Amino acid sequence: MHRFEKIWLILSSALIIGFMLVTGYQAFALGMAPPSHQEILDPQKVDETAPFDNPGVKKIGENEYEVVMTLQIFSFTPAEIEVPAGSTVHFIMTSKDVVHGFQVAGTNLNTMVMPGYIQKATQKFDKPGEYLVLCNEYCGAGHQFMSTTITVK
Amino acid sequence: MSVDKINDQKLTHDEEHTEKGAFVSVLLVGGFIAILYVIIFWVFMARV
Amino acid sequence: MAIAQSTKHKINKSFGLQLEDARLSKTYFIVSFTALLFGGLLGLLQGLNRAGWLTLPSWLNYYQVLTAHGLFLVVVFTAFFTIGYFYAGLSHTLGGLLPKVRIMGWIGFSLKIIGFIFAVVPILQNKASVLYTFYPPMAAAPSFYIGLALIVVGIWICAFGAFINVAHWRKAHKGEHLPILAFFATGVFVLLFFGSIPVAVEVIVLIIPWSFGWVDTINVMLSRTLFWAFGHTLVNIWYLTAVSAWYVIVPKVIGGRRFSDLLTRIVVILLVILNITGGFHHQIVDPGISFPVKFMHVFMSLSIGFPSLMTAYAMFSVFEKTGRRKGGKGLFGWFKELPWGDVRFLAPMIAMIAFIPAGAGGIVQTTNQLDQVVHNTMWIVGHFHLTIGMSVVLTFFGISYWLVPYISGRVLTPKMNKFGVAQTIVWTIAMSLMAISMHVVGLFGSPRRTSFTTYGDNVTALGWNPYLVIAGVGATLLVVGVIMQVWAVFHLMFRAPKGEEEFPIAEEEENATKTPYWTERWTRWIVLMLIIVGMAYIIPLVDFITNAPPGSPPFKTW
Repeated sequence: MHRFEKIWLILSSALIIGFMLVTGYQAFALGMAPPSHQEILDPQKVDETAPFDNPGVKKIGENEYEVVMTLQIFSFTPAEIEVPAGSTVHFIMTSKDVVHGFQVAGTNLNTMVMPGYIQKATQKFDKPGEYLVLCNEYCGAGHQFMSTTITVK
Repeated sequence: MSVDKINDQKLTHDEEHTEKGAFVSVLLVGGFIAILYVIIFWVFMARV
Repeated sequence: MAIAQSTKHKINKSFGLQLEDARLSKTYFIVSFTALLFGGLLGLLQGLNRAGWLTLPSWLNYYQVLTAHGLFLVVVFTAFFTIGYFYAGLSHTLGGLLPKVRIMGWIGFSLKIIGFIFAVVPILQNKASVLYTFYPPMAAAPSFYIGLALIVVGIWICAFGAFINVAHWRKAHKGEHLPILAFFATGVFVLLFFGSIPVAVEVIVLIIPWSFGWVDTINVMLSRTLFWAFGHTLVNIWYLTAVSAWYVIVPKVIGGRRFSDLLTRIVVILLVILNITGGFHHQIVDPGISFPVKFMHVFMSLSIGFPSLMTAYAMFSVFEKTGRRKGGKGLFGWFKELPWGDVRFLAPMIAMIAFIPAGAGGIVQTTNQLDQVVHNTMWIVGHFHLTIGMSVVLTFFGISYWLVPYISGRVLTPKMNKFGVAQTIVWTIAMSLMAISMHVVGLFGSPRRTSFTTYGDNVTALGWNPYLVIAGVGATLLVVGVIMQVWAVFHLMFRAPKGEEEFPIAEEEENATKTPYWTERWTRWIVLMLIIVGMAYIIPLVDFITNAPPGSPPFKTW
């Protein structure tokens, strides 16, 4: 093996391991791991299962909100969400039918919402404005209409 | 081919240097990967 | 008559071309490039729709078009090309296919065609608009899944045909190394077989009984995971097929020698061992999987990058050596000495260059939480149009310019070569326009797999439109490229002047060291592969089965 090739293999391995370390630090030390909540429910009884029997926005603390949300073809419940600027919002979501995606453009909120599973994700909204919420997993003929907004005032 | 054989001595000597271009090229590739990682990492951190 | 035939046979034998084997490969290519034509035209409809220029009629759903586009291009075009190419390669390097292997090739062909018809009819009837990932609990008509299962079985038969041929050769050539192209073929067919087992289990065990209504519910997470164990392997198989041409064919085309035989074989072995576990990175933002498990999978996923980084060095090294022998001076002077006017080089070369941003994007987006920036956005669509649509497809095109005339007993004329160069340039411009704008608009949040929408004139969504228009322009230009390519293939197959085209296989360096024989121990590599797959999948699969929520009934949401 050529000397340069050895150097390159060492450098490129270092590059990849470096990415792993940085990402690992970010995930485990800074608490920025991707949404990975592990909790199950009966996908056919979402409406009767707490907390999804009462979806909506709840204030749970100083500048802290909890959004209990169901996703179904082709809408988000609750539809309109309004929070003051600087709020941290905890989303608790599940799907009532097929696989959906939950993405808020311009933020890191981007997760799969699957039937039978409860998914949780948190985001701090600092900048006021209207954020577009959309389903980013194909879910049927009206998939392109499945959206709502989060208004940050 | 026969020319190569005659210059065998010279060829092995050249070989020592001939992979410089390849090495610089792969470094550019590695640099590109690193830059792209930094960009997306930066986007992620900006949106936290 | 018999004498005449036997002379003809002998002549062909001395050419290295077996007419019966050639007919098999030719038939595979006819199907492959016909699928490219249809898939490409469907892609145009999507591109125009997303650009906001075309409203699809009520009888043709965007998602129906998308399902067919995926099936035509990422399954039919690629699978038929790969099998046609490697069967031609096995025939050429192992001294002809065994008669029974040829029959298996035809049986596999028929099963795939029957399966394809089973799958495509419900798509046309809008009974299977579930996309080629067909995530349950969306449920298509049962015949869609039966078709997919038949395609998989057809591929298995071809894989076993290849194994039989390789085993036969090895028995007759004890202690010898398998010719390098056959070695690649073995790797590809091993992956095709093992990689498609998960999807076969998903479709046959979980989905088909459920879609017929024999069972009421399905385990959504289990099926999704089984799908991706296959899905990502599949695209990496097409990539490995392209890589075979980079290592074996391209050096010969540029008048050089192959890169180190040992390292080439190690790259193949690594790609085979590490591949199947890579699929999990499609589930980085899924619920129900703990993040330590996800992090382990990020490592497994990134490790596939390692053989590719080795490949990057290997390719540059071959180019530099060859360019310098031709008189290239200075740090990059060798670059100019490469035969840029030869389509057999230009197309795969651009394919390799495209793999630099494509691979880099892959490394970044697979890195755990960074996936949240791009997951299921248009970025991903841009990514796989670079990896598959450029790195793989341009290599396949490059191969077609010599392999199609070779198996057809015709030649690539200088005029057709020029045409091929033009086709490559059109493709490169078009795909770059499309892929780059898709990457950018994905960063802004535009979702994939979504027909034209402004979400009620939402300001954010309206801001995506200029990029989607550029992608639409790219898609339009791409169809020009598709038509040129398909025309070229059929011209080279039926109209080009008769003659003898070269099957370019590069030799090793003269002073090459002998490759140790352990590289040939395929059982060992398969066992290693299964161990890695076990490490990656046993924990999550057991978890999905034992901690499963009540299942989901089928839904038809389109």
